Amino acid sequence: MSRGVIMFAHNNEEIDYFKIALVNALMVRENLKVPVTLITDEGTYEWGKKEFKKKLLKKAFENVVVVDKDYDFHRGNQRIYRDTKAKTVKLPFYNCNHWAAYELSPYDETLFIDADYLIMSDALNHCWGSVHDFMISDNTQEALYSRQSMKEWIDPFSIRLYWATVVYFKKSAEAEAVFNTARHVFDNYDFYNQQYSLPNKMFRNDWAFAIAVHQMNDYQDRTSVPRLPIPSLLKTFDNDELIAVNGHNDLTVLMQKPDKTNDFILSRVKGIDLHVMNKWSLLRLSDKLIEVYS
Amino acid sequence: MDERLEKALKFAEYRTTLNNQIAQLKHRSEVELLHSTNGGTFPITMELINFVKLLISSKKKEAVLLDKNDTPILVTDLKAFYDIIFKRYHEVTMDMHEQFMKIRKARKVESILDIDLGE
Repeated sequence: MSRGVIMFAHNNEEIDYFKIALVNALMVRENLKVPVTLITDEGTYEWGKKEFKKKLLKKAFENVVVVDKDYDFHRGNQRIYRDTKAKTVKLPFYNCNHWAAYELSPYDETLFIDADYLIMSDALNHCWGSVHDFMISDNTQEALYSRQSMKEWIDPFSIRLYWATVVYFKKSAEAEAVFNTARHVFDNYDFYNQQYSLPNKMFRNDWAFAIAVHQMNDYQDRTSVPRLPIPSLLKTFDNDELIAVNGHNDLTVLMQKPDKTNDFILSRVKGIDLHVMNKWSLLRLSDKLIEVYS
Repeated sequence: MDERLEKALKFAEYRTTLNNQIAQLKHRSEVELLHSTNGGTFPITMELINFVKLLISSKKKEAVLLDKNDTPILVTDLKAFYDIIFKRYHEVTMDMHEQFMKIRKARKVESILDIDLGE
């Protein structure tokens, strides 16, 4: 049975997702000790090859799969990116092809991880060899624990929110059905957007997979699709800021106090996987992270 | 600002940091207290340890246990399973206690986080 991680990286005008994926792939290699396959587009890959040495790329990625980019989608699907309160920019959010992870994965067992979900422990190794063909999480936890965690439902009149930040799957009919359904949601997004009372028109993988899971659950809440074997996905928001790399799997973060815009609490996150929404702050520390993990 | 109020706010900040690091310690321990076998993952709890011990003392060599997803998992060697979860629970909680005491004893934000904030 082959096992590995896949990540997607499609750069936009400001965010170097390739570099973020490179950092995280090095962290995966150290903590999970499995190979990483990167799914990217030609422009992003050319940029990556120009920016980083061949040896480093080889260390991080076992395979690089180059896919076509849908430039109409790239321009149309935009979201707000923040770097604390200092910067707010609307940028393309290219995430329309995550349903292709099933087909593109070269592994029998795959962990599909968002590039900005930093792997700082071996916790996800509990997935390998699972009796289940597909696992996903419906539980997140703020790294500032007193801050209220993200909502449980997509909308008060909609369905349970599942997080496509980390997805485990085996090459199997069940997993294939989930990914095909997510693709079907993407292809018919206007319909599903209305049907499920999605909060806005932006395409989000979390919503597409939540709808797919809902359908796999025979349109019921929480019946048969198993959750990942970890307690929750720890996250920081884009108003928070990574400020230091203290060593292996050890970061210092400024966490915005609840309901306060310019007041922060210091936190030190050690040995727990962490979803980092503030991409700029992650990029500011990425050279240091590459140095530590390479 | 009133000196007493300033002191109180500083203390509140210290308490928030303290509670946050304790919550994070619990989170990390919760992850470390997982054991996977035969395709299932089990949170190692006192209840699980005692139930497995009871099965062993009832001369059971194997048993079906419900894992984190309530999936029935056949554990074929209960003794080996018990040895692993007992040892892990002991190690993780001892470490958790050590870390907890270190955090509790710290009287400043920088001591809780074990970092140098500079001037």
